Amino acid sequence: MKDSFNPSIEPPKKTVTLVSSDGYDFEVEEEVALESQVIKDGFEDKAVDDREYLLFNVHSDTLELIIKYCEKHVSSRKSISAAAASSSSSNGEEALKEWDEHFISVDTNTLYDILMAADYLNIKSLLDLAIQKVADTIHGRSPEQIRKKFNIENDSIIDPWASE
Amino acid sequence: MEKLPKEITSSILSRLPFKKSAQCKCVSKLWCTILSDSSFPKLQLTQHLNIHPDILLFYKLQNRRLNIFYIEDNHNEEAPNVIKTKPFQKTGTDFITETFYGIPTILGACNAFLCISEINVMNISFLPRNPIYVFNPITKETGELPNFIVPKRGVPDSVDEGKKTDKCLSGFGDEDDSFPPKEGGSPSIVSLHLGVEEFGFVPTPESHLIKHTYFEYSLGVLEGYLSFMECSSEPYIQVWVMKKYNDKESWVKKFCIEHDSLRSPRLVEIEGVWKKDELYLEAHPLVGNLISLKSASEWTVAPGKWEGKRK
Repeated sequence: MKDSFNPSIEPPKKTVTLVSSDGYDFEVEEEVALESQVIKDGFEDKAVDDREYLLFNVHSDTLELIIKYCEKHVSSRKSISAAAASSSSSNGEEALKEWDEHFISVDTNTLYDILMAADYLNIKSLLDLAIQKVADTIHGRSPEQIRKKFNIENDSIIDPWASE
Repeated sequence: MEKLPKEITSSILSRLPFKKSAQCKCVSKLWCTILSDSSFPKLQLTQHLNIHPDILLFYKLQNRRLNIFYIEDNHNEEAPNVIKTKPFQKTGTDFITETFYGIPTILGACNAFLCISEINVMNISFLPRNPIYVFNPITKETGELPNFIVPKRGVPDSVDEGKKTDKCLSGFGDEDDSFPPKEGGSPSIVSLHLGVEEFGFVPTPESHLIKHTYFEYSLGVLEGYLSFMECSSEPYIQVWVMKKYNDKESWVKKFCIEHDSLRSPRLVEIEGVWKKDELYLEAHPLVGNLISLKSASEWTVAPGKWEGKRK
């Protein structure tokens, strides 16, 4: 793993490095990385110059999405609380909901990767979003369509018409 | 998706509507295992109460038969006080016709399960008769409770205290000693701890009415607290809640409702909490009026009440 710490181009904010399973480094702001409960839990114990996390279960494609999600949520939270402090009206939460909706509208494989990564990194709001998306997808489908959509093998012993 | 951890799959499935999740049992063996697990209904209910706090379950008697209906996901944005008749679903007809010969009645409901038994018509107080069944109206699964001695007087009512494993039965006993605990003739709340199968007393509220032993009390769960309703010859109904379980001092009078428009109901039961602070109350089961309480002083009969109402 290469060392991301380079004093000549030191960024103004504290950062941590996330390393994906396929070996790519992602340098993110501290507060963005702290969206993950797993990183947050062990954060204080780690030395300041050793804030590098090897995420063996997260592929770079997925990690990029996860970081995008966390960055958006950190910045929205700031602007929402800023709007609340100045008591100006804001539709920040509505806008964020829309953004989430758009963000999670991905194909089944990506959704699966996001689910696994959100679970692994313990990002509750993202896990919730992804779980709800899968539930919504199941909702309008017959058992056969569900199997096809999610690539589930039919090993059921229950007669599908029994519940009708 | 097959490789998802079991907890995530079960979290996904718990967000489905009840009927859909029952149907999903035939998708795969794993899904069937998850959906049939005894902890699943509780998980699903908790999930649904977070999302839609207004699932109601009710029943009616029609031609001496018990019909169970349920409403699910009852969103009516334009008129939140009106129950839409459309999503009413009839359930459990087979179970009821095959199991009961007399008049079945619902003794109580908690966590989306119903407790049903036949009532003994020879007894004036309409006491239930063994065996008592537990019925899940959505999946139509049933179970039979072990026989137990039913009090000779009073209306047993089963209520889940919520966070505890205690089950409360309101036994309004008299001198009779057939019901395990008794307390000098005044109404008492009896709890049954399901884990150790032990009976105990839950203290009753300090009320001057409570000295009388009639059928005018019922138990319910309101905002997660054990609640106690007094419906007496006085022109109001009192609703109490117990803020801290099993602590007599914590009984608080929540509402006091004038009931002249109800034509002196014998028994009023809390059917469910509707939206934020509306209550659904039910007049005597044999009458079958669904009443919505908009505020502590105003009674309204919900326009979408069930059809074929008995007089």
